[in-house]
Amino acid sequence: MKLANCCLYTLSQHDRAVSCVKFSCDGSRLASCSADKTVKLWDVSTGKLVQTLCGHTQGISDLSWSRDSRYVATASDDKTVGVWDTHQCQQVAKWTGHKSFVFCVSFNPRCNLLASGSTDETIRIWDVRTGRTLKVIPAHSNVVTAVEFSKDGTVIVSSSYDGSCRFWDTASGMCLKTLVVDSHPATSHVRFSPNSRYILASTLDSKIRLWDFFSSRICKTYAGHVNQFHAIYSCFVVMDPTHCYVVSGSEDKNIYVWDLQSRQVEQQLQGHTSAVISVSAHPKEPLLASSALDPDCSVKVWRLKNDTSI
Amino acid sequence: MNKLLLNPFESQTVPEVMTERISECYGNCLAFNRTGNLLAVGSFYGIVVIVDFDTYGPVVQLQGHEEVILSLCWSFNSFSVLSCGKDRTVRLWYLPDQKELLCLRTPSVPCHVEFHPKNTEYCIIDLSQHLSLLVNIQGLQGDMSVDELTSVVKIGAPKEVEDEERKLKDSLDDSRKQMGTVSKSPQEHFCFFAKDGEEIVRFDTSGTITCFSFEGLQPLRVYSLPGKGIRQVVMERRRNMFAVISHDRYIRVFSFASLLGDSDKPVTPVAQFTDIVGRSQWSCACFSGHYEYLLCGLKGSEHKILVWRIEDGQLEKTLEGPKESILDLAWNPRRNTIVSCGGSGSLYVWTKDYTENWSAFAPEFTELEENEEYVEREDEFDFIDGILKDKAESSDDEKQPVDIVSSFTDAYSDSPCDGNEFCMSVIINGKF
Repeated sequence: MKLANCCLYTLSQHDRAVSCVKFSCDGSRLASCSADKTVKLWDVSTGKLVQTLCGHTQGISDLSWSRDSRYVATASDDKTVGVWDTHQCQQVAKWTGHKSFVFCVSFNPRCNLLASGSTDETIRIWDVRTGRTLKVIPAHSNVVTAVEFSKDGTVIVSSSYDGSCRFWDTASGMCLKTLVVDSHPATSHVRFSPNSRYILASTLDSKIRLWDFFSSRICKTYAGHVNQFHAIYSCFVVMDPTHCYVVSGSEDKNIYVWDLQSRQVEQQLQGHTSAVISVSAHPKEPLLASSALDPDCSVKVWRLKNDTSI
Repeated sequence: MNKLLLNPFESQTVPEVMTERISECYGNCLAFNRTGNLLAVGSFYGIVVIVDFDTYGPVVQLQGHEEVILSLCWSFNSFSVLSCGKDRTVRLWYLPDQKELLCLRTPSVPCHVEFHPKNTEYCIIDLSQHLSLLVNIQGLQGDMSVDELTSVVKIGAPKEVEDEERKLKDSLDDSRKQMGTVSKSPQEHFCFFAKDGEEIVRFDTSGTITCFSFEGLQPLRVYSLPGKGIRQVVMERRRNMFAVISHDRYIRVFSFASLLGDSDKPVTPVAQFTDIVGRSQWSCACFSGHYEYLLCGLKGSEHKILVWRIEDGQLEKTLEGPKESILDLAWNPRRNTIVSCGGSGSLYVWTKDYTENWSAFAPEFTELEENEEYVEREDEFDFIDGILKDKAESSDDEKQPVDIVSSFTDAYSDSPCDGNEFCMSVIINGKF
């Protein structure tokens, strides 16, 4: 079985680099955030712009959807974490505390906690209901590039340009484990696999590694793309349990799709005219969203299909 | 999942220090839901508060009871809470709507309520001065009296039920004749579901245990317990053990396995504990997550929790809190954390005294007992072509298939996360 694709929409309404795209948990909306200080919400079925959320005074680096697909949290260079109500189309919270740019945010599965990582090298855990900082973890010795909660919410994984991925106990804030590659390349992105059994870590030596973090073993290495400067997102696409793919943006303007098991490049999606920084997989359908840096500044939505004719 | 990464020896230790006081919330009785993320707190004033245990913030307030709450129970999926109070009502709360579904009025004070462990249509209500009741609450709504219901069965042998009914009739006749005198039934019962709800175990204050079948409520086996009369019965969450606080100031731990053998035999305790120094009575007790420990609170003006090892009966630890009495204790089923209620209603959280595990900060770090002199290998720090070479990432290892989809069972959870658990709606900048 071979994978085919077609580009459904090209959404070019951002004025600056689009740092992150993410589908909502129910799959109806796509949110994109940009260095132009705005968050834009798109209707997935029509590709129409629904809302533009303005309020941050600096560029936005990352966003996270709440479980009920109503709220979006954003990480901004204005040192604040913003929370937006997409039903009311307004900012409902602005949390200050980080001493430098906020680089990444993530809700926990129950959406009562939010973790944010910053260039001040700390991770902050926020009480979503009150906006109180519950914990400040001096996590790394360089920019924290990604944070994510495990499926059961008890573990947080973080990655940093200091070259490590660390695991944290949510309840106590204790460090549980550290994973590094021997040559210490800066880690630009990390995320849990859908079952939280593995992590997928991207490094600036143009490699993506799938780790079994219980046994500290590298299970798969994906290569072929170019990633040497930017914190490029990667994601999993699960067509069905036997057809899983790893997807990542690349600085050569393509999107790379690897077969999870064979580690072969299955597809290169071409169309963007700058480095592709962010990719996101739709929670239910075989859709993929991607966004690119300056001067392209566009968001594209792709449909993947198992092409049986080849 | 974090348990898999924690030191297996450390993850079983009991709490050591009081780390938190839950603010804006007071109570006298406690109940954790199955996953330990929500805590129900019943207060003196009849308010039931749900506390989010991730943030220690109160998130829901349920108002209805007019007097002190005596017992609370969560449904297994955490969607509903049962509460009973001194105002002679049992109330069923549905959390997604945050409202009261049912208010059952009982003829006397209900002391204890419990959901069937697998079927939330059934619950047990223990009453003072009456036989306990097994009620089918399916479809019931609004305000009603237990006497009007058809879906109620009294938990007792046929003769006991007969006696009770005659007594009730007598007392009614009596009260018609001479106002105000209520005949006091001598026994009080404590009933619990056992064997995944297939059986109901009934404790009499005199020290007799009767096992009933859930279907048909047939008395199956009878046992007798040592000690002089039962004050309180504490169940282990998964019904492997139970503890009985007796009038002789002993707390005895029994295994449920001993309730399977021959009838009419006295049951021998696994362990028994008493406060040798102060000879104080126990006020409350709870089991640890894997029933290695029994945690007991002493009656009196001190906030003192004694932690006993069940296996060998040794005192593991004594936790001392603020200068106030202790009313209730609850062990969080997923974390090594306990909550205690002070006499003033304050809630205290006790956890392990976390010390940073420095060897977790780098893969090559290990903790040493003593300093060691390091002997460098000849070529250990040699640079080849200017860079330290990666150890060859052998691609042979990478041919093994990986499964990123199917969830793996966490050895520490009761059942795999099925996603059918109740989850609080997202509240942002919400006022309580």
